[in-house]
Amino acid sequence: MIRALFTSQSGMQAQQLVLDVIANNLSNANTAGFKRARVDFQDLLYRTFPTPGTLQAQGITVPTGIQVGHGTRPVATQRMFGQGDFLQTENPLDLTIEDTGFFQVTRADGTTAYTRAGSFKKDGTGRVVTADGFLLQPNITIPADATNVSVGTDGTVSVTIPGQSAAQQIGSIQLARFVNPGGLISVGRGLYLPTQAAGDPIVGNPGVDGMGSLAQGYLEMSNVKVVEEMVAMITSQRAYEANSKAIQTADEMLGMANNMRR
Amino acid sequence: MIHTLPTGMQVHWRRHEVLANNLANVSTAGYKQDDLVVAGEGTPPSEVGFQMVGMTPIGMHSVSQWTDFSPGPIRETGRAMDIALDGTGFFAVQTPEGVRYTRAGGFTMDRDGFLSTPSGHRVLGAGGPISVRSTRFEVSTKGEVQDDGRVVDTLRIVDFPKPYRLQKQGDGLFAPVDAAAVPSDATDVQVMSGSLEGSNVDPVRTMVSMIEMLRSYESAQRAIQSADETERRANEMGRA
Repeated sequence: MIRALFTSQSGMQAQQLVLDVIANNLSNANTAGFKRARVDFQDLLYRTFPTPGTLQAQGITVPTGIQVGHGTRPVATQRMFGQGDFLQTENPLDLTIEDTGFFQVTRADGTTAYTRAGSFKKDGTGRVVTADGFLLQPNITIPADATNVSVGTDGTVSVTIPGQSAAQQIGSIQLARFVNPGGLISVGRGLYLPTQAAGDPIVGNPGVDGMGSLAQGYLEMSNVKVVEEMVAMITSQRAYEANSKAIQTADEMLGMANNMRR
Repeated sequence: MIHTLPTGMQVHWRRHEVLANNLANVSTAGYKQDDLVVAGEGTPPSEVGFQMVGMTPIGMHSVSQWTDFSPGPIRETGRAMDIALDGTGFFAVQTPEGVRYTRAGGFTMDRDGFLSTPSGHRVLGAGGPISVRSTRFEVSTKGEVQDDGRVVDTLRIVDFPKPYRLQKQGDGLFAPVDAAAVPSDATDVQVMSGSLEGSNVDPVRTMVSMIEMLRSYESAQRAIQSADETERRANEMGRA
């Protein structure tokens, strides 16, 4: 008898998780390079009463047995890697990847992480770092006396040094892509770490072999669409409510059963 | 007499369990709603998609199960591995128990690079599991899987003779009850990559069914109470 209560409980927990994910999406609506997430669900096991065979009823063969499900379970939070809008900043170190690819950065512990957030800065020694101070890979150091930094769509970084007529190439930015970016795990600060599910990173130059190209002076905004999240929030809230009504109903039924003995 | 009555309450409990499962799965992609019908008390669902998928006696009652195979709402997601079927048919997936069928098209990739369901069952194409090697994964409306612009396989999309003799296996999967039921290639179907079929649970219908169920349950309970009352009075007769 209590099965119905657990079933509805799984439904309420599912919607709670949906709300958690929506809340995180909404709070990152203005985070550069943020990719929204979605929860995927599957139905749980079914119990069959009694075991199936077939029988004849009203001239047609029907399987015997009815199936009672046990609710739902979250199977994945799927990150949606659709492109976010571009925001023009005119900051020379704001870079956007058009289409596929990730910037590679070195974390404090020396491991490589991947990010779409292209708001880079210069540290005290002229190295290009993320807002959190993680080094861009491959490292690029901008000379102290450089007056103009330009990044080509193919990732070539060149600077103009006073007194020299020609621009000087100081390095080139490489990107990484994954066969299954959905398999990356998110570790906060806009960074992703590779997993077996994502596959090995494929490193290459921007704009070739399916890698996205770079746009300088633009920042990729979050791909969260506030209206979409709001609608999802309303649906989820109502679904939560519906499941709580199912619990109420089950409770009422148990009450009636208990009240039979006066 | 009183011993035959509680099964009346039991069948309604079963129905509530089934309805509660519908509500728990309002957000489950590709989920198909169920209902139970108690012969003599309720009428079979009148909506087109409902098909009888099972039947069992509970006490004196004959209970039949109905599953609504009508499509759920198709929503655009922009993710290439979200694949919806517009029309009748099922995706075929490989499980340890054999080939199973599903309408839940929110696919992903397993660690070996094969297209799979979120619980790790590989999706089958004409040539077996589909291996994905590049980030340019696309599926045409005919189900041709393109990897880096090259057609590598065609999704295996099948249909069964109607009425469907399919039972749910959890994880969004269906299995034919009769092993002899041979799936044939689906003809009336379009594959929509970048879209996802939602759950077809109708919350209003489920809520109304729940109210109806609760009232039937209540009258079954009253019947037991009045049977109890009758027997009590019968026992008191001698004392007057």
